[in-house]
Amino acid sequence: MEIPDYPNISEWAVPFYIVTMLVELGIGWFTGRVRYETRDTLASLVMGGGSLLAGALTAGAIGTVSLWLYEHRLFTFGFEPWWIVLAFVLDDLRYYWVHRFGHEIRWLWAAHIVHHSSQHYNLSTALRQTWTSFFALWWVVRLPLVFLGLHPAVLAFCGGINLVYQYWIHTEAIRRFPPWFEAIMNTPSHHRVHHATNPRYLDANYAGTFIVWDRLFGTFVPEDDAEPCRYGIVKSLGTFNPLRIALHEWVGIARDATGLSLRQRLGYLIGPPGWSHDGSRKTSADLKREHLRRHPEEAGKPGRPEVA
Amino acid sequence: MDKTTFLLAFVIGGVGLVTLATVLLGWGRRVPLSGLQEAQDRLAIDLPDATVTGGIVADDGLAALLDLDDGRVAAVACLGDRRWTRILTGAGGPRIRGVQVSDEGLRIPLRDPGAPILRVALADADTRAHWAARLEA
Ligand SMILES: [Zn+2]
Ligand SMILES: [Zn+2]
Repeated sequence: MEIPDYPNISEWAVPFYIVTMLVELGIGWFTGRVRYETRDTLASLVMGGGSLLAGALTAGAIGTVSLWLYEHRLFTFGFEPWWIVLAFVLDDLRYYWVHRFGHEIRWLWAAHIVHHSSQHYNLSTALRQTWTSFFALWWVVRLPLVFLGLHPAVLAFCGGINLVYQYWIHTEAIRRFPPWFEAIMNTPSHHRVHHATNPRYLDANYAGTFIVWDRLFGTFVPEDDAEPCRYGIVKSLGTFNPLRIALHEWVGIARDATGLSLRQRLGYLIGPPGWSHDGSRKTSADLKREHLRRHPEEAGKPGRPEVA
Repeated sequence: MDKTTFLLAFVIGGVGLVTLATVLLGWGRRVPLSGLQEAQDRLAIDLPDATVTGGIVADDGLAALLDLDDGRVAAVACLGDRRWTRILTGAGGPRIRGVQVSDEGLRIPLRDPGAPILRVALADADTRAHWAARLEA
């Protein structure tokens, strides 16, 4: 079986990233709809470069495990275009779940928090990527697809396209697409909600390319023009230092989990972000409940729990 | 030039170009707090149940210290053109590693890997002493 030599999409996209960021900066200058901040941008781009490097350094290990598993696959899918399309859809479903776990399990969140740590939302934010996804075991969630019979090279190619798709939706320059497009595809509007810390927008819109997964699994929240997105993380960072951006949540986990019972440690490791053994912190669910207590008139709207 | 060198040059060049463009557009400047009200409004987003009873904005506008009605002290600080907030004293254990006082103001190292330091420019010695005492109480 001949394995096609797929291009490394993330590397090929670099010139496209640079040109589009310059265009977005221009749009921001003329319309005022987009905002960049120098050190925030620099931090995001350094995180992006570091992530590319971390990916290159760990690709060998992930490839070895994946190819070994592929030898023991259940079925064999070929490299014809229709299998690539199937692989893309399945890999996008895989992305939905790993991304959702990435917000619901603190161990994975410690890696993914990096992507959410800017209070800006522009194309440079898309490149603010983690350095620790290998350590956080994000890649493990792709293994079932390999075991099913999709070749790791195909999945890597699909994942690359998915990441590049997600790049251009990190913008405030585009408001909305026609309803049919917004219904199927992940768009700037949907992903703005994903990056927002407004209680009703927390833990929503995990989609990579197709927003249908969120609609299917009950995590879709539409952007409400009456409630502008506030971007970032609930506990905003007070630093642009890339090392701190990359590692602060890991340090937080290590500090939280020392000197406690095993059960409590596990809570800090695999419980949701904001979980604490003494109830002194707030999870997304707590924040939503408290918001609803203050605004009972909002009960039942998307992104809000039904009861306080 | 091999592929890796080319890619590296492109990445570094691109980062430089985009960063430079933000500077040229005037987006490299820090945006100080407009006053105590802005600090209070920002804190209300992160801590909607907190009631602010008083406070002070640093001389350079880059931070504010706020008194809460339950005796705690909160901070609102600038990061570029955005703000971050932290509770500095009160329930939940020590959040500050001490207060360093100099002629310029207060330097407060925090026990927080995501926000290691808070600087509050306060030229007035009495004001400085008051807040240093509040934080160390
Ligand atoms: Zn996310
Ligand atoms: Zn994003």
